[in-house]
Amino acid sequence: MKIVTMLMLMLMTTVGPHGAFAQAPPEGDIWRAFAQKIEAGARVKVRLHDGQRVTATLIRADPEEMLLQPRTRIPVPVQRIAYEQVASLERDEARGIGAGKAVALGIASGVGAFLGTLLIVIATIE
Amino acid sequence: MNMPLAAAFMAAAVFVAGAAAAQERPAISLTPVESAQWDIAGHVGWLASEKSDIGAEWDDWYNAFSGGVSAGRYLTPHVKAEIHAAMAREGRIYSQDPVPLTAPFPVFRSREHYFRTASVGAGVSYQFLENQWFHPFVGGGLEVLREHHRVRVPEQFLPQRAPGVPMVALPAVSFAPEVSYAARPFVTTGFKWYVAERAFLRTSIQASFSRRGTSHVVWTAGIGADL
Repeated sequence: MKIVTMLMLMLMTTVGPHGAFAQAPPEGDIWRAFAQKIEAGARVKVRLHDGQRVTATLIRADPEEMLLQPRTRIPVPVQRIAYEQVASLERDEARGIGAGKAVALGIASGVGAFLGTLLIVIATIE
Repeated sequence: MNMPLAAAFMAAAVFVAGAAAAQERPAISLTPVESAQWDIAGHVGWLASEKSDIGAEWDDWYNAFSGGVSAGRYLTPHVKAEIHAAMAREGRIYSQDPVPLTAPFPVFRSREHYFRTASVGAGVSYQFLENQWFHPFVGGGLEVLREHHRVRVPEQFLPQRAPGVPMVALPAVSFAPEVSYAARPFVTTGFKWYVAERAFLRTSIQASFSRRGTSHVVWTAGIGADL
């Protein structure tokens, strides 16, 4: 009796979860549904299955693909990305450089300017 | 010149360029329609040069203000071939030689060695990230250094131990300058920080090597533009 109970438990723990996973919608459908809830113009972070990571502006979320404008120094054409390529998609709320980065940049710039001036002065003296 | 080291640098440069060219096109292209083909930059910097074969242990590096220009050609969005030229102001170290016939009290005479360095070089660098505002880079290559070396021995008075004997004056001496050339492999690292779409600030540290080890270290900061 105990053996039968154990076998039943093993079947439940091994077969049960697989059945539950099988019911999950395809990953592409999940990202499609999520992307279509994000308003156009929102800043998003996208990671693709090939490992590429991009911060972009969501232009439009169509049923088959989404249109992204990567945030780059020099503008690049709008990119079409199929939902099946997406490994993760999230809103990027970051705006500006933030207080911490601003302080760090200020300190770094100040130290750099001071050292540069000091070196020039020393060179002039010699 | 250290030929095996130089050959290793060249092989690494060719490997990096080939590997970069063979990369697959990413799903999201960050390459602009009209990407930059060239970059040019000017810089000022601080040169430190090792002279342990001449200087005393406490003074075997000289330092000098330097300036230069560079021009690079992008082979891919990440790989760039670059040439550079730089000149430094005169740097100085001291050496000391014992003066003979001053026993039992040793007297040393100081020599001032003045060096002025100019260099031209060519190399390959790998620039991380693509079409962003901040780009770290690493690189290496070969450069030819021209070093102008002059020696001046200042006037010196030798004190005499016997009372009433006047000091002996050793007159100042200047030797004819020497010019030498050397080819040295170098490695460099730094970053480009874009302040506009095609204009950037760049800072880097470059180290050159000789048989004795690190022979020159240059810190540079400058501005440049992509063309």
